[in-house]
Amino acid sequence: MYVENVKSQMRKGMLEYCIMLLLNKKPYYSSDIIDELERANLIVVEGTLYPLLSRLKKEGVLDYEWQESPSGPPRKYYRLTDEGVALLAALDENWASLAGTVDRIKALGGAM
Amino acid sequence: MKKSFNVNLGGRIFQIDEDAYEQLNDYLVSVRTCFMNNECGEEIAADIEARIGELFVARVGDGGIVTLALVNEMIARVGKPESMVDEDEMGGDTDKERTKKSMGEEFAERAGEFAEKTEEYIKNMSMGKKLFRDGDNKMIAGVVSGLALYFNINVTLLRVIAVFLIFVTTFWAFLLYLVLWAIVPLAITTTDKLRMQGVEPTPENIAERLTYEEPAIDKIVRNLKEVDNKGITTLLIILGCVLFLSMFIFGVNMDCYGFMGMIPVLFVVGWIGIITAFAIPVTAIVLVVSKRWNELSSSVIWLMLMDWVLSLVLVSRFSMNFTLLNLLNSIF
Repeated sequence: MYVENVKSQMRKGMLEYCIMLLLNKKPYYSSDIIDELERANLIVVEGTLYPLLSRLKKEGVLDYEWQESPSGPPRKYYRLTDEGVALLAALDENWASLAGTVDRIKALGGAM
Repeated sequence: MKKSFNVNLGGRIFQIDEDAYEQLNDYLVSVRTCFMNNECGEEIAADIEARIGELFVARVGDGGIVTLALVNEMIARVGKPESMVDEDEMGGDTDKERTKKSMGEEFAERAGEFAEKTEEYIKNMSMGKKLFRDGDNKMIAGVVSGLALYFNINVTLLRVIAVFLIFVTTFWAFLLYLVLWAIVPLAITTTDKLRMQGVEPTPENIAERLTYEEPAIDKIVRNLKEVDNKGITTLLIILGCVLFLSMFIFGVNMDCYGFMGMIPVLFVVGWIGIITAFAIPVTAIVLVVSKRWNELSSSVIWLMLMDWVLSLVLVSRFSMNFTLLNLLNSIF
């Protein structure tokens, strides 16, 4: 139970960053974001994504535009705003530093 | 036969069974209620609705028939509104603790309100309260549990009384149970469950129930039958063991007749065998006729068959020995 809790905390921390990484490549339809996140085991409850996207949009990190879909109703395609790209660059740095810290601590443990 | 409707879900048309419609409607209302305070709440709810529509298309195609099982599966997949909000809270640790605490408080508050509401409804009872079988808390079919809710009696107490009645009336009380099983519907949707407890199924109450009550959705997604037939499975296994062991008593009974002490045991065991030999086919017929047969898992059906065969073997020995005993009596 506790393990699940810790894992879920880690996932939560990564989620926003990973979504931004995805959207940095190309505009995404929300269901495709879910597919990618599920493949990476980053999301368990699908519905989590929608409030998250809504908040990121409110923060000005991302935006969407409606596009016709080959089948069914039109879809929202999400993409990063300029502000979002800048934020992502900052997060990239933060991630590199976090990963560096983790590696360093792991190496410490190995030496002892 | 089920009623079905056409619904438009995020711009797609489906045919949906009546029970599935109620469950889906309950769920979407709870999502809307949950995000009510969010300024983009309506949009989030619409997105989620569209996602469910999309998942339905992936499974049954455009214009396909949506069943209750499918609705429950998709609700589990997309998630309860509560878990969406919870996972969405991403502040630091202190922030999280605060959220948790306030959610706990909120829960306590709501539980209090809920208790008050229930009490109010018990005061003017008949209002809206409806007799259902309670599938969430059942030993066999949820009849006693449903009755306990309806008459506001402690379930355990009523169960003890029921078992006592079955023993006292030999198996007539069981027949009554069977009739209730056949007549009283199972509470399936959240609306049913609220009505069962005498709570008015308003959107707020439904949302509250869907948000704070864990088992309903999760349980249906796992195989409902396998999980829920625990009580009846245990009962049948115990009965099978009693019948099996009894056969040994009857197997060596020729020597046993000498002991007066054994005769009451033979009497009880013999009655259990006879009642089982009758009760199992009667149960099967009633359940098939009343279309409740599908509430039993295959393991329960096999156990019923096994117990029945055991009881037949036992009864045949019983009657054989009985005639032998008569024979001996008549000789000496």
